Amino acid sequence: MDEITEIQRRTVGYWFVDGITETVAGTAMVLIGGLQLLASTTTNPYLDHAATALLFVVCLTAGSLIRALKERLTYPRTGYLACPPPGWRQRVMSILVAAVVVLTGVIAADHSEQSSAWTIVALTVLTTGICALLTRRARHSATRRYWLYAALAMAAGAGSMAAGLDPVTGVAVLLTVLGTVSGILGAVTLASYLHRHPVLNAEAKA
Amino acid sequence: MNRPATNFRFDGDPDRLIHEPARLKIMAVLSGGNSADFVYLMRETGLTRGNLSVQLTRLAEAGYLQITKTFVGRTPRTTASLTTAGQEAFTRYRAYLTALLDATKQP
Repeated sequence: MDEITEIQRRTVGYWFVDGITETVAGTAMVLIGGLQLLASTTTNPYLDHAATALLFVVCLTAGSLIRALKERLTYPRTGYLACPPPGWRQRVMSILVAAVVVLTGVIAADHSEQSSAWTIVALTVLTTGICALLTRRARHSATRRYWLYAALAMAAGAGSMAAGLDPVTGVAVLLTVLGTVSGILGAVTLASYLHRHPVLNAEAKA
Repeated sequence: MNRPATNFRFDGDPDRLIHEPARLKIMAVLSGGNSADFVYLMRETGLTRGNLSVQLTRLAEAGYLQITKTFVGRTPRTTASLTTAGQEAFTRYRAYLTALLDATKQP
């Protein structure tokens, strides 16, 4: 690969260089997946609602939280870089994939007591959607960890199907496994990043 | 004699302003619509503060670069991004290099 392309790929991957995104997303996935798993094993109906409410809260606040953490931890160390917002085609594709995943999840929740064939279809769609989003991110940002997450999501989805779990529990397992690994790897990446890049003093920044 | 596959001609010079390695690195970082601050550019290009400042000024004077000053809370942030002219110049430069490499490819 030529140096210009290498520089351009590094700029795209800069958003993921500190592990903050994975730490925040991983923690959120573990919380949502864990609550959902707990809800499926107990009779408390509030846990189910709590998981749904948490999902909305995460969707609304995760971006701001990540930006605030980067403002405090990343930019004072290795500088600020803003990539342009995604184009309309990229937005439409992401919305479509997310809509298919959410819709399948909603329908799956209503049909969780029905045939195992339906369970396999629902889990396949959900796992494929999540894998597609992760591999796309891995390819564009040249962040190798995302290949691991995609493989892990695929394995967790296949494992849930093999174990004969209903779609809701299967997704909860997938989120918990993926969230745990992504949270741990993100935290390790963040710790290593903070160790390697001390805060620049005022003179160096000027 | 083997003729090259493309019709590349040396009558058009590459953009001298971008051709210089330090400025080429700056343009590469900012291409694609990115905007970056001084610290990021210094780290990514490996240039000293003084050299980076000079190169940024030259690119800005040519109309290839836009310098924006904003405040994040109370902290000032100065970022550089490519203008439309800068983006077009960089695309032309890459096309020139690609054509040159294609024309001089060994059979």
